[in-house]
Formats: sequence, C-alpha cells, structure tokens
Amino acid sequence: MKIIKTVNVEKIYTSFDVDTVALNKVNLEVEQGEFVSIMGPSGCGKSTLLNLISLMDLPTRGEVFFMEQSTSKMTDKKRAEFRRKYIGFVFQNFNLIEELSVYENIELPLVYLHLPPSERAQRVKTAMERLDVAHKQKFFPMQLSGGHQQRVAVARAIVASPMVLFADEPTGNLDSKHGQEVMEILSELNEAGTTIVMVTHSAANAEYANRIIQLFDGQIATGKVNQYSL
Amino acid sequence: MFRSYLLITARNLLKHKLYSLINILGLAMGIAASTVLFLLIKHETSYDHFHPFKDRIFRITELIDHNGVGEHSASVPFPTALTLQKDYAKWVEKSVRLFNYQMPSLSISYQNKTYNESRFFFADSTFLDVFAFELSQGDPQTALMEPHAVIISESIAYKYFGKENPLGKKIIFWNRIPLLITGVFAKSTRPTHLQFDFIASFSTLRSAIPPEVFKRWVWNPCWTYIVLKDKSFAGELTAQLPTFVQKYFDEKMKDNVALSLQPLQDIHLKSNLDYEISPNGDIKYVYIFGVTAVLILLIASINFMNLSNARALLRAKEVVVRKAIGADKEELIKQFLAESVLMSAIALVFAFIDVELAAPYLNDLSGSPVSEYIKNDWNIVKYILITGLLIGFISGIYPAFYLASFDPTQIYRGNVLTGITEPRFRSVLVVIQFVIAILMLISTFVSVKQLNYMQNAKLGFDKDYILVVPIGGSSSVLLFDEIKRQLLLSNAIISVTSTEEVLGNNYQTHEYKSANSKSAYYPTITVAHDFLQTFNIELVAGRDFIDKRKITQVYDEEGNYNNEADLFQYFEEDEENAVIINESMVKHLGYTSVQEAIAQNFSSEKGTEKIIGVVKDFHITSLHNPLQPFVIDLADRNAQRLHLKYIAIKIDKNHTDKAILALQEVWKKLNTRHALDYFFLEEKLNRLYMKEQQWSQISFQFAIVAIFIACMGFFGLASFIVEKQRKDVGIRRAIGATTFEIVFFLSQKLMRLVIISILVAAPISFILMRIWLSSFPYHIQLTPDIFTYSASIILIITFLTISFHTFKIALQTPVEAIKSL
Repeated sequence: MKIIKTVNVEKIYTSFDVDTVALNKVNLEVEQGEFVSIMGPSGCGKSTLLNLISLMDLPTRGEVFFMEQSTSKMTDKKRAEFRRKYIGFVFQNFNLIEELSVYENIELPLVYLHLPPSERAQRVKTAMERLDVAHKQKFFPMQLSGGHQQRVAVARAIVASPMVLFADEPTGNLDSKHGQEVMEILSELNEAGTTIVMVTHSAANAEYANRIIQLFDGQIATGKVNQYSL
Repeated sequence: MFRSYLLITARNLLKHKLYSLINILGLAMGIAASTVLFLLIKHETSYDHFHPFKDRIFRITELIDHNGVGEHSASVPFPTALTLQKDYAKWVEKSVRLFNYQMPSLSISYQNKTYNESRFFFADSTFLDVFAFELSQGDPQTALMEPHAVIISESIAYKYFGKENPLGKKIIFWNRIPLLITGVFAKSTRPTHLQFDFIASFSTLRSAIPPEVFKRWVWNPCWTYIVLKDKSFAGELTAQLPTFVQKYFDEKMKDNVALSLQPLQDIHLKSNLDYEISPNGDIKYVYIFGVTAVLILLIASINFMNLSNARALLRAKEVVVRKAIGADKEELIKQFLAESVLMSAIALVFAFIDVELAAPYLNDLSGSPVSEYIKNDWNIVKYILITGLLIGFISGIYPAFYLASFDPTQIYRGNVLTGITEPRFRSVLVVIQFVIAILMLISTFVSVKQLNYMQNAKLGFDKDYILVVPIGGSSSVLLFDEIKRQLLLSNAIISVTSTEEVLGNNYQTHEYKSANSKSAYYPTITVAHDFLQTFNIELVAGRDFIDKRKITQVYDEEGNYNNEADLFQYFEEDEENAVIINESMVKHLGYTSVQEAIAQNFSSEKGTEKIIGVVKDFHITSLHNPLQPFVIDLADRNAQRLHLKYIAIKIDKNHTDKAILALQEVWKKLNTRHALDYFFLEEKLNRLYMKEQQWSQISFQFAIVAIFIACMGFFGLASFIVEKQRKDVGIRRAIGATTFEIVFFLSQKLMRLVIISILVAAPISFILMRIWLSSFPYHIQLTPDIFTYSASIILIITFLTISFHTFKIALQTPVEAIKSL
C-alpha cells in the first residue's frame, strides 16, 4: 500500500506581497514499511514537505494522499484524528512537554485516543521498556539528558503503534553516541514494520534508510534506493 | 482527560508563580469587589420585603403645594387612616399609624434614670397585623390592645432591665405617662425603613393629647400605612383621593393638597420626602453600584483574559506538540477552558475570604451596617460561585481559541514564540480596562469634590461652633428662658436661641396670607429671640425681632430711643405681630424690592402680622434642594413656645470644652428630670450628605480596586512584552543605548495604551459626571484639574508598574545583553 503519495504538490508562502515557492510540483510516493530519508540544503523545503505529508499543513496546489485517501478536503478535526491514529513524530529538539513527567509525556497520545487507563498503562509500560526509560518514568524532561529525552520522545511517538513515524533531524541535538543509538532504534522500528520518513542533514544517518530523496530549491532532485540498506 | 487537565494546570500554576498569583488574585479581587457591591445592592433592594402583605401595603403621603411652595410630607393628619378605611372599606383591609410628635427624641424614665429615646413611636394596635415583626416575648394579638402598653426591642430591654424579665415592668413617658411592657421584639436583621425601639399603644395618646386634635385635618404628624385587599385596588383608590381631600380637608387648604399612595417597597429607594421616618437610600446609587460591579468584573475578566493569553504564549510549544501528536482544536479549547475554570475556582476561594473579611465593615448608603440576613443569604454564595465560574469560562474562551489556533508547523522552527505576533485585540482590552479604571478614578475625584463642596458650601448662616440641644417633647422647653439666661453667664457662650427644627436640616410649614395672595402653607422656621444673631444671618432690610425684656438696651443715657433700624414701634409684641421673610419670599409674594415688603401685612393663625425684616436667602434644607421662600416667625409666649424643639447655642470657638461644661452644669442645675443630649450643628448637617459620603468612600475604594487589578494585569503583560523585546534590547545595548533610552523604548508601547485610555476616558467621564452632577441643584464645575490629576496618577502608577520589568532589562550590562541574543 502506498502510505503516502503526493501529486504535483506546491507550497507557496506569501509575505509582504512576495511569493516564496517552498515546494514546486513535488511528486513522492512512500510504500508501507519503507524507511525514507529526505535530504537537502537548508531552505530546500524539507520541513515544508514533512509538514504536508504528516498532515500538519495543506498544500497551495496539488494533492496529498495518506493511506490512499485524499487529504485536501479533510477537515482539521479529521486530519488531527489521522495524526492521532496513524502518525508518530520525533523532533530534533525533542518537544517534550515540560510540565508532564516522562510517563505522562509518553501517555499523552493514548489520552487523545481515549483509551481506557488500564490499556494506557500497559502500552506506556511496553514503550518505556522498549526504549529503556522505565526507570526514569517519574522524571521531568528537564531532569533528563538529551539522549534520554529523545528516547522518551521516540517512546511517545511509537506508543500508539503508528503506521508512519516522521522524524525531523532526530539526532540533531544529540552527541554521536546517543545519535547512533536513536538511529538504531528507528532502524529496529522499521524492521518491525513501521514506515519511517526522516528529514536529516547527516549523510551517515541517511544511510539507515532504504531510500534517500534529495530536495533542492523545492523540487526533488534525485531519489535513489539506498543500496547499503538492501 | 480531566485528571490530565488538572495536573497540567497545577504544574503550570506552580511553574509561573508570579503570573498565577497575579492572575488568581486579580480575579479574586474582582469577584470579591463585585460581590460586595452585590451585597449592597441586595441590601438596598431588600427593604421591607419580609412583610407578608408587602405588595398590598401603601403609605399615604401628602403634597401641599402653593405655587411651588409647600411640603411633600411622608406623614398625614390623624384622621386619614381610619377615615380611608371607613369610606373605602371595599378596598382597604386595615391600616396603621405611627406617631412620635415629630420630636427628635422622647423622654423615657425607669426608676431614677431618664433617657432621651429617638426611636420611640406610638402605633395602632394593628401594627403587628400589618407588619411582620416578631415578638420574642409577649402576645402579638394583645400586646398593643390596651392603653399604656408598650413593646420594646431586645437591646432596650437589656439597656433598661439588664437580665431581668422586662414583661410587666413599667417605664414612664414624659415623666408622667406610665407604660407597661407587654412584649419584646425579637431581634431581626432584616432591612426595614421602620427603625424603632419602642412601639407604644396609640390609645395611650388619649391621655396626652386633647381629643379634638385627633379630628384635625391640618397637622400631619402620622406616618400612615394601609393594607389593600388587593394591590390592584391601588389605582381605584388613588383616583378617589382628590374627592377624599375635598370632602375632609380644611376649606382653606384643600385646593392645595394632594394625597397619594406610595408602595411600601418603594419607600427606601424611591422616596425622599419631608419628614421621612428614617433616612432612606437612593435608587440612583443602586444603579451606580450595579454598573460599578459589572465594570469591576469586566476589568477582572479582561485581566484574567490578558494574563492567560500572555501566559498561554509561553505554552505555545506545548500546544503545537499536542497538535502534532493528534490533539484537535476542540480538545485544546476544552483543555484551556477547563484550566481557566479551574483557576477561577481557586480565585473563588480567595474571593470568599475577601468578602468574609470585608463583610463586617460594610455600611449601606444611609450609614447602617449591611444586615446579617443579607450576608447570610445563600444567593450570595450562589452569586459568587456562578459569577466566578462564568467569568473563568468566558475569560477562558478567547485565550483558548487563540491558543488552539496556533499553527503546528511552527514546531519545526525551533522557537515557537518567534512566529507569534502580539494580538491587537489584547491592546484593545488593555485600553478598555484602563478606561474603566480612569473613569472610576475621575468619578471618585468628582464625588469627593462634590461632597466637600456640599459640606463646606456657604449656607447663608453659621453652622460652625453651634451646639444644639433637643428640648422638644419635654418640660425642658418651659425652662428655655432660664436656661438661656444662665448659659449666657458663661463667657464661652456667645448667643442662645431656640428653633422648631434643626436649621438647615428641615422645616415645618405654616399657613400665612399676604396682602396680595390667598392663604397658603409656607416653609417656616419658628424661632426664639436672637435667632439671626446666633446663626449670623444677614438682614438686608428692616430689622430683627426685639426682645421687649431687653428694651432698655436701645435707650441711650439721656433716655432717647436710638435704634434707627427699628421701623416699628410695636416691638413689645413682636411675638404676636412680626415675621421676617427671605429674599425669595419677597419675589414669591410679588414685591418689587425688599424695602417694599417691609411693613406689609402677613397674616397667620395668630392674627395680622407684619413683615419687619428681610434676610438674605439661606439654605433651610440640604443642598439637594434649591433655595425656596420661607418665613421666620417668632414663637409666641404661649402655645407656640411649646413647639420649639431645640436650643441652639453659639459658642466661642476657643472655649468649646468650657462651653459644653457650662451647658452640662446649667442643665444639671435646672433640669434634673431630663437627660441632656446635644450635638454640633455642623456634624448633624454633614450627615445630610451621608449618601454622597458613603458613595465617595465606596467609589474611592472601588477605584483603588479597579486600578490595582488593571495594574496587576499590566504588570503581567509588561513582563511578557518586555521579555519578547529582550533581543532588541540586547542589540540596542550593544550599539550604545543608555539605560533611559532602553527604558523609554520598552515603555513607549505600553504607555501609549495608557495615554489612549486617558484620551478615551476623559470625554466619557466628562459626560457621565455632568449627568450625575446635574442631579444636584448646587454642584461643582468639572474643571480640567480633575482630569489632569486623574491622568497623572494613572500615568505614574502604570509607569511604576512596568518599570520593574523595564529597568530590570535596561540595567543589564552590555555583556549580559549580548549574551541574551
């Protein structure tokens, strides 16, 4: 199943009557189970593309299909529901909610899924054990190292068993050791069947993907199958 | 989900302690302040609501009007009640009269002690049938049936008898009429315009007043209430009252008299008649309280909204994270609304504490404490709860929608705050908040100025250093001449006179007939000799009354009569023959000059009198009323002398204590059977402006609350705005800006809002204050200084409020500033 498909997607930002083309007729397909890296220089439109395919933003023109469903006419509520049910996020700066403990941060997506408390507890426990953060469950984000924060962020991203995991520079704020750990976790998740779309500057990290897409000036420059991952 | 909201609210509150405190306290103060006003409104509007027939009880009032001169009296002649009941039995079910000789106090003794009691009334036996006052002792059916019976209040029972059972005890009225205590009123905290400590049976009066007086339709000393069989009969009865007047009232006055029915529940707030039984409130102030309560709530609500908003921006990251992981707008709105309501619930706790602390000090407009009955009313609790939660909800709507609308794509851009712009709506809210605060400040200035003006206005007579001693209704009045003689022996006492009413407070009306008009009832001040001298009243034509016992004083050593001012030779009978009028009366009577009025006939019931003098106009009542024509008549030595109720003593301002001591000694020597009461005229007249005084205090207090709340919000907002400018400050500091330049840069945006508020508030307050002032016949002018002072105060306070934040950042060293970039 093509989990993501974009058809001639364009995104134009207008500011002070000046149009800036962030994406220009981008056509992209991501199959279920793939691990795709999006690379490119700063300002090439990586984050904009990620916003569109993760249903956080709407294209100016063109169409984005998610799980083979057109998203252009979806309501805000429906797109939120898709994000809740099928999408997980990992961010460069972790984006944990500081007022919530490790446990509560991981639990949050399940709260929005309205799962019963017992099931939430079970799933959070599994996610924490998988990411090895169970012993930090009562800590608050500020009390954790960057590596641990990102583990918690990944645990939160996978706790609802999403079909796709979007990762935006997931190792950008980590040292090489912790960065490698995170990449290995993502790789394991992909092997277990989770589709992963990752934006990165790091060629080394990109190598974990099955496919690398190069963006340049808002267009896909090349899309090649990563031979090392095959 | 709710647990999650609760948790995150609690942690957020603790994380931003200062914000939380300002936000919660601001709201708590707003709710508390509006609750206090609500308590006052509730108290003011609850008068006489507890009587079962409250809708059917009406007071009869009497208007005597002769070309705009006369009186509008809250009381009517003796026979009115029973005659109405007899003639209109199909509509009138029952009636009751209250009577106290219209004396300031009445003398009551028990054993060897005598007190002057100001809350003593005679009432018909139907008193307890008409009004729902409960007895803690005695039988309400029979307590007032017999002559010489009296029901007393619990406080009087304690005052006279301590812990002894008062039932069956005898007290003495006016040193000669025994009254048997047949009941004790249960202590009531319900507000009523009937303030009494003694209710004696009306039938007792048969032994004190000649029977023909009860049949007269002229003197109108009875506060008369009727109960209609159905309130709808009020219209029909009112239509019959002119016929009733024509049928019964005296021939000479019936064309100038109109009776009307006044609903019981209108008395406290909508009645300001002559001879009110107790000081009333004013519906105008109830409306003002209501508007003030709403404005204060609005300020608090805006504060809450603005601060929640500013604080919410710090949570922008949380919002976009929640959105990214699947929270939809609806859920976020719910979350922030729930937080808002939770915060208001915390504010409610503080509001309850505030109200509890303030409650014991609350007085209504007439100066009475707000009743316990009102304070304990569950509706107040409901009001606080509903208002608090509703405000929390309403104030939460804007921040909730605003926050929930954040673009989740901001999450990729690092600092979420960067993309958030300052909403213009918030600036509008700040302006509204300060407009209200400035309005309240200006209103305080104006009301205080108006109060000072009224209390210190030149009335046309001296009110300073005048001691007033009530003597009416007791045999003291017979001792007046001797009391005066002995008082004048003290060099601390300058002059002594006697008056029928307290000068400047109220007056009676008496019938006179001038040469060119029909007889009419004119405001009259019945006085004793030395009246003009005691009150330093200016004579513009003619002469003062001359005391024939001082006749030798106007003869010189050679025996020639040398008082040029004395235009008439009959001064020996000034008591019978002479009146003095004021300038307005000269005009009213149609004389072209004050001189023309002199020596004109002015007949009264005493016979033909002449106008011997004209005084400059002065205010015989409060400045709530315009100047009016009046007559100053010298009490004759017989019946009229008994009408004098007060001794007025002008004392030497340097020997106040000595004068009081002299009064006490003279009283002790001459008048052992009566207790001495006295007061200073100035204090008594100042109490005429009790409503204005109470209002200026309330206005002052609430202006402070309003400014405080607005400034708390401003403080919080300044913190956020200044924080957002930190980067700019760093750059400016690095390129050489001075501390003051930085402070100016940071302050200008916020201060601009305050200046706009001043510009908006000034014309609005000018219009509102003009409307308020126009309700006074004599009022201050709205001068620019009122607005300048208010604006300056607000500018200084707001500048100080934000300077905490601006100086904090501006005082950073350039190195610190660069680091913050």
